[in-house]
Amino acid sequence: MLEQELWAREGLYSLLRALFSYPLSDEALRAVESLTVMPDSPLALGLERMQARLQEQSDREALIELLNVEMTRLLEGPGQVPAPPFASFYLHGGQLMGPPALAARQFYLEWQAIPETNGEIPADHIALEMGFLAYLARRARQAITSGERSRALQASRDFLQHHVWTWLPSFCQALKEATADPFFTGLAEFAQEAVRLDLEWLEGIMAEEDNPLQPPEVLG
Amino acid sequence: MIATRKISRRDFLKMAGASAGGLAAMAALGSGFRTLSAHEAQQQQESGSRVVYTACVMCPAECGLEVHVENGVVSNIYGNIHVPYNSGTVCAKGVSGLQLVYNANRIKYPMIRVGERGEGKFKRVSWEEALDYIASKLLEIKQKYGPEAVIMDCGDVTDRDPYYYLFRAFGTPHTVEHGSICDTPRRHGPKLMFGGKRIEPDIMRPVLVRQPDGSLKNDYSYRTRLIIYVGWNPFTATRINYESRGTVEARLAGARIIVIDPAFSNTATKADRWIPIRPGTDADLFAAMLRYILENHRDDDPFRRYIDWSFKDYSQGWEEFEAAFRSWWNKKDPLNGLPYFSLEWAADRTGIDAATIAELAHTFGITKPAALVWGMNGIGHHYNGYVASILGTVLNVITGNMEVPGGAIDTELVKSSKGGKASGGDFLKREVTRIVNGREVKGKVEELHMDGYGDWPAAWDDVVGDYPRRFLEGVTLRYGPFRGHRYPIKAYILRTGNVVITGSNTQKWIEALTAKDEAGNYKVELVVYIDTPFLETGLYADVILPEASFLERMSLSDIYPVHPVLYLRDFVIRPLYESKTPYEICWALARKLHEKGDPDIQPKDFWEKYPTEEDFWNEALRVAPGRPNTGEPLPYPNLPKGYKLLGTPDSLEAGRVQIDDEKKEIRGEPLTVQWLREHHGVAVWPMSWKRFHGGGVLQTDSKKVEFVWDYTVEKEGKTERKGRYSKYNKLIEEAGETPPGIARLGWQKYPATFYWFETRWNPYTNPDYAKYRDEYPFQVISGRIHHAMSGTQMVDWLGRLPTEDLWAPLNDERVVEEVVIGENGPTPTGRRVRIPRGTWSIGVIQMNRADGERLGLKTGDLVELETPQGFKTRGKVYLVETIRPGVLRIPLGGGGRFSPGLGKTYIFYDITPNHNALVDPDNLSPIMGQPAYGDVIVKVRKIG
Repeated sequence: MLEQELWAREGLYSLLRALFSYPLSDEALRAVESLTVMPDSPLALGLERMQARLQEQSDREALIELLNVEMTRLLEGPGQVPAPPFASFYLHGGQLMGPPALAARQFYLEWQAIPETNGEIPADHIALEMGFLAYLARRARQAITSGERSRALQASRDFLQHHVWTWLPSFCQALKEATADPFFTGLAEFAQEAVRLDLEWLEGIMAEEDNPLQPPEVLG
Repeated sequence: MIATRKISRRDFLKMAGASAGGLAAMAALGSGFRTLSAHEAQQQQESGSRVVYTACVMCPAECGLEVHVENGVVSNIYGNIHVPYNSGTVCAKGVSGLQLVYNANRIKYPMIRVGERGEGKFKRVSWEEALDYIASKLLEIKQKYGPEAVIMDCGDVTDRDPYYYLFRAFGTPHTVEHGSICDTPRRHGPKLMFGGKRIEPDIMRPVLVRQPDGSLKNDYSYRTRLIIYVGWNPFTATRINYESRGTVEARLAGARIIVIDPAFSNTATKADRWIPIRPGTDADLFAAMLRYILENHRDDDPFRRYIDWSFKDYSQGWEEFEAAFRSWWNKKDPLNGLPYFSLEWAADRTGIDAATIAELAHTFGITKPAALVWGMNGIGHHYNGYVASILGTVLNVITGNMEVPGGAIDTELVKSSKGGKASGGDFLKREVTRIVNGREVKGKVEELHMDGYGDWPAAWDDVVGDYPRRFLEGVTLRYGPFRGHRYPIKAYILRTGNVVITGSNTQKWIEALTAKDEAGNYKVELVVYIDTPFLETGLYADVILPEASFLERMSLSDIYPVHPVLYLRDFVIRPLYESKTPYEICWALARKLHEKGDPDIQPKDFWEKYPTEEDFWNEALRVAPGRPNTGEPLPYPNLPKGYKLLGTPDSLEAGRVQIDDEKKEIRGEPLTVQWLREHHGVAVWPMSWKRFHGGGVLQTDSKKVEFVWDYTVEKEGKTERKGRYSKYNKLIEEAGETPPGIARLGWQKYPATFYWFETRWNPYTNPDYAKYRDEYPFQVISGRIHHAMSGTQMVDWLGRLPTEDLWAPLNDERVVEEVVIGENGPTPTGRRVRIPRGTWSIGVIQMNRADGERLGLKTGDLVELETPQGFKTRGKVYLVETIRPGVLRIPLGGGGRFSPGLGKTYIFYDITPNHNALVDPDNLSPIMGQPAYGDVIVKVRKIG
């Protein structure tokens, strides 16, 4: 059962990474469309908004173009960026590349992980943080020992607590206020709820395992 | 926190209300992360501190910097003590550099416009897509109209060479920079008479000087006895860092400082005397000073020995100049009826009483060493600034102050050379063919230039202020082999500039960039904007490219030192996001052009010749310092005098050189990027003085100071025309056509020596405008806002600080959707922020208090300014005693800023004055086409 859950977490964070990465791809949008959740799921509201938006327009290419133009405006600029997708902006007085970016990069390297963008994009970008959580989820899923899995899960929890949840609500709020496009208001809702419930789940599993923190194993 | 450790284990899928398969399948989308080995991870961890020596670009002073990097992030910025230009000092702009580099609003990715120009709607694209778009369009334009239909405008900061190199190779002669919308009239006198550009006082300290014992030592002594700054405010204006600290030090060492300016500037606060002159009358003052000196000089009276006749040893043509100058003395001014250049005449026009003008002339004539220095916001911004610049240059020369210790130095002539073949000048010599009026004509690329062979033959800086007209009307060449050739301007590529706000009249620029042809297509088919900040002109671009910030790129700096000093701009950090360095941008575009079959772009000239960025800049360094071994004390006494010096300071010092007697060159070991890195980022060669005195630094035809600019010499039985104006006059004579700029003055061609004409839109000196005096009672001038320049207003630390009664906290209350930088550390945001009234500085209209009270105004009132042409702007008045009555001062480029890329400054655009909204777009100064920003008159109306 746990393995299925770990697969699901990896999938969820991979989806979030794809949805916050520019440009939005047809593959990512199809993933949104294919997803089903129960009506009372905390993810339902955001997902429905995104899915409704995707159904509005039959010309797929034109839709992707419109969404990417809006995503450019919201996250990339040029000029005043309504919802900068970097933790530092919210935690470091409006500037980028602050301590949150350094801390995130340090965290990645402690897990011997590096974004494919290398150092060009500050490490506290939302897509990188979501990608790293997907990476940790995979490490947990592929763990050979329970201790290894536990360390990966604990790292996920720590990363969420100290590096994601500290700013994600502010970012999602800024995103929702800056756009009238239901895809992006839905995405903000979906992302915040997904992270919130995963953090809740991790707290639960950590409490159950009650496993003291171990340093990550060296892979070679 | 969402949950506590007391929570019992729950199923993630149940919590999510999702099916296992649905979510798990999405893992295929990937994490975007890869796993490193332990060793690789260790290597990736940049921990600890390092120091990089580099050069600033927060303003065009480009000071030497020492930048500290902690854990891979820029942490602190200090001045580089090894660069004598700023000698370890750094200003508020410089230390705020990391707020630009790490600014959330900087351009991070290439983008392509998706709305109309001006709407500001863009889509992020890949570099591949952006470059493909640009290259395809450039080649289409080249094929249809020729490469001359493309302009590469490299804006206001250095690092231009890669762009020059690429676009000159592409085949256009239009590779331009900011100079012609800055202050060309101010530079005219030194250029005509010396081949130089920029006269500054000899107050850069330390200077490295050869001692009698043969050693080299830093000299910290200030010998200057008098500096007169006219319309020049080095404490606030940019470019010459050392003049602010140097002026204070010189004064402490006994120099007298006089500031002549309509407004009590920051420089005036440190002066012994402030003389508030009427705007646009600097030439009048200089003419009266020169006449006074000529009339009252006595060789035999030490108290009136103003002229140092030794200047005649290194000059020619003084008699002709003096005769032409004197010829005006008996003419009467049509406005005041007084003889030209008399004290009374000047007093009536300048508003300075006759006794003060006489005292000023006497003081300047008798005090030595001294420097008369004039600036961009005064003489540089008036229609007749050329006249003032020539007279000012003459005053410095005949009083014997040029090139003496503590006197005046034309820094353009003595700074280090750089660029060389890396500037791509060779490409301009390529032969090309055009069909002109049905006839095949051959000529050089440079002879297709729209200014030099078009409407502005004497404009040695390209006439950017006239671009809007050419965008709308196209170009017709009047001179040279391609006379009669017509072509449109179809591509405008702008890099680190903001012409919509600073390049003449704002509305005219917008009109030109958005004009469409009958088919509904934009007349200028391609507009590209390349920069780190997103300024107004970017709103009108089709493609936006993110250029690496100044801490993420490489090049060279050498901003007007008094002797050769050259320093490196180095990579402090690697370019963030998807930004690229100028070299990377140009080489990538070159590859794309080559792939698409552009025959002018060949690998042998680009990636094969300069495969790395360092190779390219090493080429640019090859010509340094490029100045003669001359002057007193001789920089290298063991090397031949008068020979051109090339190579590192240490190789020249040690005599590790090759001497080429034929070329008269001394070649040491070439200066390189690596050498600079090993020497605190800077190369300093020795200072000397008296370099005009037969020393070979003068760049005129005669290698002397020239008072006549079109003359003939006999050489081997042939008569040759010489002098700076002669080549333009030859073009005019061959074509039988006068350039429109000077035709407006009633001239046929450029005068051979002294000339005089009035400025425009000045009711006090020009009879054509006297009728406006009562209805439009205010003259408008501009000032600089030290902290908040065009490219740095996005930095909140700077934007909120007041500056010199031009940038003051007169904001009303506004709510913004981004973060205010907190005074007490980081502030969590993501919410709306209220900026209370009176807490944020904005551009204001400085006005004399008596004028304001007469109009019933108080500080903070919103007013509208309107010119006789109906141009308007609005802003809040700031009443002070320290500006001449009848004068308003507005920050140039400070207000009306409507680009959202400027952060909080942007939200006040509707209550801040845009000076350039008032400028007459047709009032381009007649010789070099500089927009006459300072020739503006208005009436004032209270609106709130």
